[in-house]
Amino acid sequence: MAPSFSFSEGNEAYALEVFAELLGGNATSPLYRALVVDQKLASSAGSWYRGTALDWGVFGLSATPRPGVDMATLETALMAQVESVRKNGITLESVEMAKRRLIASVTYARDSLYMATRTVGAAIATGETVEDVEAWPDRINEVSAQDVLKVAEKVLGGKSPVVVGILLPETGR
Amino acid sequence: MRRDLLPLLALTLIAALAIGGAVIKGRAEHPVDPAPPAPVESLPTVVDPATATDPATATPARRVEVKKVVSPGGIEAWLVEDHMNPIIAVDIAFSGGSALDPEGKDGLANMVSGLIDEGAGEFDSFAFQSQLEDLAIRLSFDASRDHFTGSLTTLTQNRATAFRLLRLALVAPRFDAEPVERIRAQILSGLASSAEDPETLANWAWYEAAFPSHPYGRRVEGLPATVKAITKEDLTAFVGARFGRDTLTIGVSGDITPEELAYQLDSTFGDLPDQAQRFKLGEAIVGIGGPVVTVDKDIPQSVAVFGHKGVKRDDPDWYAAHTLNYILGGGGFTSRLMSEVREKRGLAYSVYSYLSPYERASVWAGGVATESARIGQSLDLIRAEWARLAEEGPTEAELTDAKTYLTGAWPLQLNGTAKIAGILTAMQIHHLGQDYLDKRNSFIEKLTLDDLKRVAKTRLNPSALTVVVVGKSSAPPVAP
Repeated sequence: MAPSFSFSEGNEAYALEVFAELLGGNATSPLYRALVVDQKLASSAGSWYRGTALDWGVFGLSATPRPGVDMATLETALMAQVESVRKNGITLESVEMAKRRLIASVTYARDSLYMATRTVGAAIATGETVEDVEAWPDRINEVSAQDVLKVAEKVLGGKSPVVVGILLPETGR
Repeated sequence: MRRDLLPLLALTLIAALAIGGAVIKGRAEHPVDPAPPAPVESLPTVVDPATATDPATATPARRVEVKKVVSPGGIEAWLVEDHMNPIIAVDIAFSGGSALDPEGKDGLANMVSGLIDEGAGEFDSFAFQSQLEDLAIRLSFDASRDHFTGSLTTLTQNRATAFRLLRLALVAPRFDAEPVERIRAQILSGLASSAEDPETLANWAWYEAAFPSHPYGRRVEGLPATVKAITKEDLTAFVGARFGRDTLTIGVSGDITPEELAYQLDSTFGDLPDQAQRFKLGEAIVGIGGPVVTVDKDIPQSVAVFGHKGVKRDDPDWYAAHTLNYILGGGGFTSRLMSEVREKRGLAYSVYSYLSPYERASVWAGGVATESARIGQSLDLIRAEWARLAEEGPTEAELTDAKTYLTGAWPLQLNGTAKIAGILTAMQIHHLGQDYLDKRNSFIEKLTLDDLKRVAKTRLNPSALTVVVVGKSSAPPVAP
């Protein structure tokens, strides 16, 4: 569980967007590199954040094991990598790169009538304003490495409720 | 705009690509969805027919002009220029897809599509992907039965790098061991999860049953054994054989002038061989009827796929068939199949039909999922509706409603730069003409009830349906 846009202090929600992108937002992210490319434990891995909510938002981590890898091993490796990024990977450079990618995504979203309306609708429905949506790129741009460190500590530092879900094959057939 | 909504955008774009899907790395498994390629006419839409525009006024707000751009080097692309948003989208297709995969190497085209953006030229996988990610360039490739496709979307300011990376992926892919094994593992893991998915199993089994002696019967993604058998030499040979300027079709949309595009065409595609390797793919006969094929799977519901020979995209009867299909099972809640099977009897949550035109065959098919004990009843109803439409044709009211929907929904499909680029490629592949975007609705509007009755009578034949059921074989079908 994590702060949301309507349920947070300062720019926490924006910092979480940056952290999710920096940690496991794509195939060159530290999470994907470690679990999929280097350790070869997972066939996919990533992180995500959903802050459009009236109550708590959600910061999520996901990984799919490669055949033969057990879930406990994967989960341990996943959390170890998250800790490693949280402690050493939140740098000025990684934050700036994540911010650039997020801001570029706005241009893509504007390309679709559906996405533009959906974004505005979801924001208004969760207590934000059109101005908030329009200011989103600026607010992302203002996020500092310090902000990301702070919010990562808040969400992943062991004080926030965590739910782990594992999908297993049925047994006993 | 919210990043958390963007995966939805990506899904919208994937669903909309005219002749292929896309590989999203890092977010999902390598996709193994065997969904047939969507022709321009059957792009999925989410439009409520009640709010669709009146056909009389259903012209796009801005007129969309399709320009033919030919580079100094003789490379042709169709362009819709649009400088409203700083985005450029390029959609490409080479003739020849998974149907040409060598025996025992099924899944080769698909595997190449997952790998040519995983390292090319001087860049290894990480360096290549990092440039894409850091500049927010979207590059993906895919294979269908007939084509190898690619899609590039970039912010205008990053176009130089974007075109350079597209060029490298096509002319100098590396196929380094690490990404080859990683993508192979992704494909195998996707195949393993598809083997548990009844819809995918039904689709696989239907193509095997309907095309017993044609490559169309094989799976685009291959089988675990054939995917494991693919070597670096196979991957390299595919690129050498399939990528040629003579079989390349290009659609471009967005913030680029014809002059600049002409330059980019030569620098991006000029190093491809003049000619791809010749290939022959015989005309495919769609199998006729026979007993229901059952795939035993211990699941609470059963899934059925049914279909017979369809209407090809260049057939003069295409628009009549497309409209008939909307009435039969393409129109969501308003279709006859939905009305009979779901609305009146509550037998199934979803039932639908579609036309899938390929280069060497066409398929008119559909699907239904319901509780195992009632699958027989559902299939009987579907056959009865198939027969009723063949014998009586649609009503005047059904034709009018279908025209209103199909013409009204058309301009809404031109929403998005990448979608338009995809449609431009499909227009060229299907020889629809440069003025197709303007003319398309008139092809629907001029259809008469007699046209539809004639096509229904000649093209719909319930006794020719090949039917596949995935589910518990112990469940006895219920007689109607």
